[in-house]
Amino acid sequence: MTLAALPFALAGAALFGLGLHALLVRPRMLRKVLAVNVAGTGVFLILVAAAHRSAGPPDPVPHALVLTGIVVAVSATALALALIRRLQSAGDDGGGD
Amino acid sequence: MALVLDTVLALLLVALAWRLLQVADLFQAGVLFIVFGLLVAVVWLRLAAPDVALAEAALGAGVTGALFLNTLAGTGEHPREAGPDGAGGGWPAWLVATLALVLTAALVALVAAQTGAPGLPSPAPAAGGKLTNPVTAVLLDFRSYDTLLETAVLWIALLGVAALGGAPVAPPEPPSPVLVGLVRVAVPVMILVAGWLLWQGATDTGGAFQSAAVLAAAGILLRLAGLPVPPVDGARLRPRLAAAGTAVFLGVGVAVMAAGGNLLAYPEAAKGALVLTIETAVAVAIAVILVALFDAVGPGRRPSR
Amino acid sequence: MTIEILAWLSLLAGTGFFAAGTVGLLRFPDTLTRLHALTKADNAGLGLVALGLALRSGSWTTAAFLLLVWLLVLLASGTLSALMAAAVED
Repeated sequence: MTLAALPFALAGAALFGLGLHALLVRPRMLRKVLAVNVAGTGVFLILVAAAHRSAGPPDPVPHALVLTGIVVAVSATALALALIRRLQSAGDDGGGD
Repeated sequence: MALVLDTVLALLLVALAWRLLQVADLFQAGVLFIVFGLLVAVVWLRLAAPDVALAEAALGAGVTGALFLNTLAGTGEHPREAGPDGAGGGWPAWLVATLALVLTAALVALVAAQTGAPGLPSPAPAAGGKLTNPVTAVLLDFRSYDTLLETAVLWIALLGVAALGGAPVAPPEPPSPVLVGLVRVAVPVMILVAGWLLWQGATDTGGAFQSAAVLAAAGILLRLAGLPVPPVDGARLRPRLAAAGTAVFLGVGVAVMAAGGNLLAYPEAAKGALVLTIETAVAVAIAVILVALFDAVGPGRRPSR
Repeated sequence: MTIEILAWLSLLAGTGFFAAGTVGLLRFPDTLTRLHALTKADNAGLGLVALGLALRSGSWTTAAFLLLVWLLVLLASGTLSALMAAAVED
């Protein structure tokens, strides 16, 4: 990884930490979904930052991985949100929303 | 100078993420999440990843944000009634801080180890192939099997959502005429842009997923304006279109095998045409799936299969 | 050379408009006035920034694309402001 990409990689590490912490601590499920997305974005940042091996065009394989990751994250988020919605409409008000 | 600006951008990103995870009002959290996604798209541009930036802006910020806000609207509870959230601290904070420190140390070590290492030779697309966009070449040529499975993942998400049964139908409120006017102008432009992104994805920035994201955004806009979305409304058409992405991908792969090769090993002469066929089917299928997922989380019609 | 100067002036002016819009967002008392400041100032700012970038790019195609981007943002932000103002009115 080049030095120029390091700030973003470190931000990615921080985002992963923030997301993981919120996932563990927050009781509301909608918040947990946001936290997982933030943590996932942190991982993507680290991957794409690591794609810069040296001065020159970046390695396209991590870019393709992250592209796939974004699409899969959207579908997983949608499934999670649909589950939350279904729980809500089923009248379950026990464990947060 | 660029390093200073990049550091400021990175700090802004972390501050925004902290704020969005901490604010009590879920609606604000959703809006902040969309802003966060757009800022991440700018970061992708700074990291020389324009394809990822397009996908992040459209899917990560746009579609995910729309899904989240629609869920807030659909759960029926007023998003401003913030329940008591747990305070930070205790063992999770220590665990996370340790993990983050270990990650940071590993990343800094990575930088130190690779400074001065030889660069990467560019992968074979330069060797006379028609796919000169390296990311598309990786997605649909070198790692096409992974992309095939990715289209199946989206389809399985739709199946999972459909298996949950129908959400209660709520009468939609009449949409604002301003929104309808915007949609009548913007949606044709978006369809055109999606087609252009699909076409030029082979040689320049773009591709099937970005095109699918723009189409899905157009579909969501149509929904919000109360206008019909024919590919998603048709109860028989929707599952067929949704499955068409994986089916066409697999079909092309098997056809290539029947013509005397390995699975998904395109013959050089037909590679451009085959990849375009796959990309078109995948783009349409993903767009239909995303709009159907949007329907399923919000107040409105039930996702019947 | 004059094109470069014009481009930089345009970019600076655009940034100034954005700053003005942000000040309006922070300092105005209620939602409607904030929407007013944001929509007008930010759209004008974006137009100037797009003009500056188009001048710097030196290509008609890029300039046409930037113009299209500006028009689409105008459409979207105008609609958004109208929707938000309508929501606040209730």
